Amino acid sequence: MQFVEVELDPGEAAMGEAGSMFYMEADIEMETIFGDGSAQQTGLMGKLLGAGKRLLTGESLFTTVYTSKASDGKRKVAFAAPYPGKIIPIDLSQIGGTFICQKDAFLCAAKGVSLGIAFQRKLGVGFFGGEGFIMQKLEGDGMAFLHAGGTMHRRDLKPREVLRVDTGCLVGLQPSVEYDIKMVPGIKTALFGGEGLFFATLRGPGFVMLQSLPFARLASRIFAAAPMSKGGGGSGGEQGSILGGLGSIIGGDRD
Amino acid sequence: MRFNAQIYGPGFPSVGAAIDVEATETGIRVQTNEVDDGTPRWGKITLAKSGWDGSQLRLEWTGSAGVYSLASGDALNNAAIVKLAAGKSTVRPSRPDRATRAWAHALIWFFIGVPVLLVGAIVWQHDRIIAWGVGLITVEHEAKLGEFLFTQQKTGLKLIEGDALAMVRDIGGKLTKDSRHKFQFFVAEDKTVNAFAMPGGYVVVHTGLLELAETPEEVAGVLAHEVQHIEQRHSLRSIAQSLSLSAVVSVFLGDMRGLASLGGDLLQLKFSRDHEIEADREGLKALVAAKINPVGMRDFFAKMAAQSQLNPGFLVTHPPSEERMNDIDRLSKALPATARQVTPLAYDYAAIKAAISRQR
Repeated sequence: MQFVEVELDPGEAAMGEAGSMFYMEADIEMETIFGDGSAQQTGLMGKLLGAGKRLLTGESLFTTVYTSKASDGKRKVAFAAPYPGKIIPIDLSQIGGTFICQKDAFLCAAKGVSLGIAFQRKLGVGFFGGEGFIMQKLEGDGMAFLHAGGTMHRRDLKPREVLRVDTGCLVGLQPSVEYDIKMVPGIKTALFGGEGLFFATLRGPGFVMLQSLPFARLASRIFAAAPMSKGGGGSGGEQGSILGGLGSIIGGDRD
Repeated sequence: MRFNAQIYGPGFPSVGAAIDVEATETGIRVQTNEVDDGTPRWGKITLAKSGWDGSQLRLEWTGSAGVYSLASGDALNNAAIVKLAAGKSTVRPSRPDRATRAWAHALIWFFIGVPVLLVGAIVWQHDRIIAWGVGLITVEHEAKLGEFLFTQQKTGLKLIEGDALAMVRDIGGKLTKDSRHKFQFFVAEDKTVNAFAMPGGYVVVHTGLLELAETPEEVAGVLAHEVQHIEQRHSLRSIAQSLSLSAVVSVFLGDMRGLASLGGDLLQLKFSRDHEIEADREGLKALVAAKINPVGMRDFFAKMAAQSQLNPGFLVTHPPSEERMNDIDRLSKALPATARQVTPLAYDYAAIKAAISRQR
């Protein structure tokens, strides 16, 4: 489990997803702004539009900007992830200025990175690709930090290289990567293989970020294992104990 | 033309690099490490709509050092490039294979099309579905519901007995001879001109109504009307219409708790105009079948209309529309001669009315 500590020079600013601040030192001023605070948004309409976009992506309408007002030396502000996982930095200036990521993957960024929404135009991918129709677009030339569940894995796909990914495990991708779906081969595998009916296929060139454990999967496992009522184990029980309620007494997880 | 793109391939970073591309009639020109690789002719290039959402154009070719790929995101540039390459480059379609598409379409249709169709069908066949749903409720069930509601209401009513009740019960008995419902008639002490029916066969007549009526036939007309509300299950139909589907299901399952809160509203339940007209028509038929003079119904409603300003009680739930009056008028005139062979109701109505006013 990680967090990001950002060092701010006097006058420098960083922005964080609302609610992600972990700690900050003296002389750092926080200001919550409507929308994403990117430079393009001027005027009320622009701000409303930006905020509306953020609402669509499922994020808070507000972003908080942390500005160092110190006159001497550096100050630190830290951002923490909301659930167990891993944080990775992405330098937008190194990758062509644009990165497309999962709706809730954004954690914090240097001020000036703009957060936009990106609509998936392919119906099949929107429905079955695992990321839905709305993704988030990070644009600019600064550092952005993404967070996702499990461990994060970066793959640089060469031209023509194809990777099949379990749907939901994609965190983000460069816009040049071709993102599509593919039927899991064989009806038996499709129905009982546990991967669902479709894979997400990613075809290079470009780099992609994958997560090993989408939070929804972790949450459903925890939910399944949680005791339903006092004395009775959940379906997950003690590693699927056939003893049921009795098993939980023997297993000793009855509280 | 010149355009900006992100280039990938031998000698370039794995995340690509921004590059300036020149496109001509013969091919493209970019700066690569292997000098010869940077100037492919259109014939060597494969074009594809690509990118994460299909909005990018990908130009791919094989050089001596390996495969190169260009990604261009600008829609205007892309259109121009496609135009230049038209007929010369291979175009690779950017879409999943046939099996994947077939399954995806089938699933989209199943999960979106079918529910939409279902909702459409429900809206379209709304009346039939309600009639079908009401038909599923048995008479016994309705009686239970009525009993439950009536016990709730009874506390607020001042039920009286005597000759008036005997007459109402007698006439009611004639009107409901062959009914599948078990009817119960009551007279309540209340000077508003009103009568109401509750599901399961409960009919309550206010004394105010009895006082306004001049003949037993008029009372019979009102009773026939109210009885038909029950026979035609108007209240159940109205409930079904106003309730959500889940509540109807709970009635099927015999769970009355959800309906308890409705009890209060049910008394004031307004039947639709169609229901009123239906009750009039069927009531007329019932009067004829019971050999009661049907003119009483018309007379009483005419009286009601005349009294409307004075006594709005009955009118709130039974609006005397012109259409309805005309309807009753026309129907009672069109009755066959046999229908006029009626036995007058032999009650000493004057005495009954006198008894009511004495009781007060």
